[in-house]
Amino acid sequence: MFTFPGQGSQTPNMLQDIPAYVEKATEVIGVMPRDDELSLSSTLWTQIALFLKGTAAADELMKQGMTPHFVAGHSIGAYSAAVTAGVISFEDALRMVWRRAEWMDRAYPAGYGMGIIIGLTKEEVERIVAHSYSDESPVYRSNVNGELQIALSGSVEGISRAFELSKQRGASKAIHLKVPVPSHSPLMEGLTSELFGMLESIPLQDAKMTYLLNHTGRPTRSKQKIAEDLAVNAVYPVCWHDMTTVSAESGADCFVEMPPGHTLTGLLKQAHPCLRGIAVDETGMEGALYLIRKWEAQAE
Amino acid sequence: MNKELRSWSQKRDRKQSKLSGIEPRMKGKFIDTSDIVSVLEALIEPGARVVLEGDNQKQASFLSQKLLEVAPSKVHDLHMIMSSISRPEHLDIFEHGIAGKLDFSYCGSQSLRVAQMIEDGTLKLGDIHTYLELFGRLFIDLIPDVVLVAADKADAEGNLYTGNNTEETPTIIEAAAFKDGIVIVQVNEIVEELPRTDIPSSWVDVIVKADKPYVLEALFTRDPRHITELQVLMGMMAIKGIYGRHGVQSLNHGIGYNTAAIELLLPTYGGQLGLKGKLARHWALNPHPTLIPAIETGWVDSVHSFGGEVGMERYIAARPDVFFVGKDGSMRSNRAMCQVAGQFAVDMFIGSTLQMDYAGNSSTVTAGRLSGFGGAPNMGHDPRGRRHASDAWLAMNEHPSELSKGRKLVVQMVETYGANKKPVFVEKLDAVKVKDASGLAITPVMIYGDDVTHVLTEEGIAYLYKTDSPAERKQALAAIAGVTPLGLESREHEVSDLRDRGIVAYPEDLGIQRRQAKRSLLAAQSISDLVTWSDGLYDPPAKFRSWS
Repeated sequence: MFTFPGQGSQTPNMLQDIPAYVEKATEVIGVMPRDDELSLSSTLWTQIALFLKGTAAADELMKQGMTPHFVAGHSIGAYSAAVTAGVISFEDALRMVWRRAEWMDRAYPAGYGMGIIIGLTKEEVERIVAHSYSDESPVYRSNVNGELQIALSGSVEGISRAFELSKQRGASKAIHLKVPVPSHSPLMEGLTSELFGMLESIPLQDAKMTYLLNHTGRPTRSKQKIAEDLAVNAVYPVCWHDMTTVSAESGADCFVEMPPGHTLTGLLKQAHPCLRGIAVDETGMEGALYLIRKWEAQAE
Repeated sequence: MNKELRSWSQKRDRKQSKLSGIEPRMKGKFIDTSDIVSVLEALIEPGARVVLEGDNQKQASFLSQKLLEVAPSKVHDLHMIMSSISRPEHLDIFEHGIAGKLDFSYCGSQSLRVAQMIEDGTLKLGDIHTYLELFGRLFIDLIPDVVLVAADKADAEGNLYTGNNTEETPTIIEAAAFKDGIVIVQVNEIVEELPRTDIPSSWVDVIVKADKPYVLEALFTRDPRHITELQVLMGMMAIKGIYGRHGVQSLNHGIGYNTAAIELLLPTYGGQLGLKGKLARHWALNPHPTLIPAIETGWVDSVHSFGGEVGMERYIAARPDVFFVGKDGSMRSNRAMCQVAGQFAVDMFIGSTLQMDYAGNSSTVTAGRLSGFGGAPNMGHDPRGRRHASDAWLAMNEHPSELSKGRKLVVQMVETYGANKKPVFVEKLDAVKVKDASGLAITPVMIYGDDVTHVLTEEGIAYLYKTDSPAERKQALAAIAGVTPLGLESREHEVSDLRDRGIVAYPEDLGIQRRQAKRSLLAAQSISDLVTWSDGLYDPPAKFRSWS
């Protein structure tokens, strides 16, 4: 299974080794994508960079003969997953990503973001959120990255209030994420209709392999369901823990995380210590190819 | 009153006509491996009730893969009956529309998918059963039309050998063969002479040689290296405060490191207490490798097994006085028989759980997962149909009277905080929420509190059978619940009263010092020690061989 990371995994200069993709992207969006440290503090350039990086790595692996049986992207990573599964073209996906990122940047220039609580369950975090929410400084329970790794979205003030409560209730860690927008919460609702509007004129194909839906944690190959996922995923929490668990139950036993970073591989090791997981950023492309081929041979 | 005018052999006639349809492809009872998909399409009617053999250990994996290849236009809406849903294709057939309804017992490795598919309506759930209930219904209202099972070997006449991994096969075949169901068997190999006959050829309709041997999982191997000193302490309390106190002769152990620790403490700590020969002599148990030292030191008289365990075959063959072994030298397991034994014939069940409420009800179902039951509820309850007495059984009766009887020991052994660092003792089981989410008729409780006689934690033992009221049960549980919210409700004067009356015992009350609980007390420290104990007869699977 190929996995594609979301916002938070970005690193400066991450596009330097894929000039062809940068060039192609420049043609599509009319501006050259940026990956310097300052630009990557904005949602706009971060999402563009993550989409290009993940898609390029998957293309390269597939060119080398590695076709995954499953694809799953976390948040913005879902767009790379959909391109890899042949559901949507690189160009159309990139236009959607551009619109999505632009909208987010514009709607929430400051004072909003995401955080993560480690050590409490989804239900425990929901109780805390219910006590921390106010209309002036909203906060929502967001992505379920692991059984005990739950994200928050909303105003920075609301998140900080929830953090204080979570520490009183036994959380081992509570940290603000490198995400300056309240993604995966109802605060993103305005974005959905724009993306659905774009999808009306985009040609789509059913997926060539099983795609895991962000907002329901379900496996599918249906182009309609995947298109809906791309349009609404920013409004709903990412069911990441369910996405990996369901693919493992469905037979995925080797998880390859596209660059940058190794966040998803870390989550996999916690949830499913017996499964094989590698991050291309750690092994390098050659190393990843070597390991996957070796494991495939063992499985024969 | 009019006699009904009808044919009384309609099912038989239908079976005959189906089988004659595939006659050109039959050589005796055998078909070519490459014909299996078309044979399945010819023999399985839409809507048919089909048992697919997914046992705890053995999987009819060739037939389950081939069932996924049938054309959904020809074979659809099957009503599947499976004791264990353990392979991806067991659920893929629902996504493809080949199957529609499911009755099952256990689905540990597919529990999130099952929950999702029920919620999405991809799968219509019949019921979730214990093993014995499901087997029972195969003879009452879930009588199969077709069964797809696995055997090791067939001879030219079609007799079958199932050996160590017999498990469910005879039970499933019996339900079909004598009620005009169609019996289709995959075999690993076809041989001239079988080691022995486990299933006679006349019960079988179609045999196919699989392209690969059936899948078999080593589920019951516990590496002693992973046993903690806390588990050693709990094991010592169990042996002294429960096995020894009540003189438990016959028993079942659940799966897990807690009970593996007990198995490895019997020869050492149990020996020091002078208990050898006085307890734990008869077992209903899968062939746990961690039982080898107790067998080798003469503690164990007999073991009957539900299924096999990879790597234990040669050891078992060399110990026919202990295990159930055929003349050929290989074990015969049998899940239905062993479940009956575990339900009626043993004095004690000891197992573990993920959650327990304040009344002692326990469940392994957690949010969003529907893992089913397997066999634990059969063994983890007091069967009211038992009529033979034993000392341990009678010892559970606190108020003897003219018509009183004994009671099975049902022991739950848990650490107060689970692997996810959440309290095991909870006010309300997650299972209650799962019941609503999945639209179940009843809450999926593994073991009911009123069946539980003892709860053992790292803090001590609650002798629940001695309590007189729900309030007292809760106090007894609180006394051993450590620093969980339940434990914090405990009051010192209540605890000292419960200890005085023998309802709660801490290690010191049992004469056990916590510092005695050392891993060095375990009769084997590693898998390699177990191999040594077995005189080299135990062949651990590669994943457990850390030394080679």
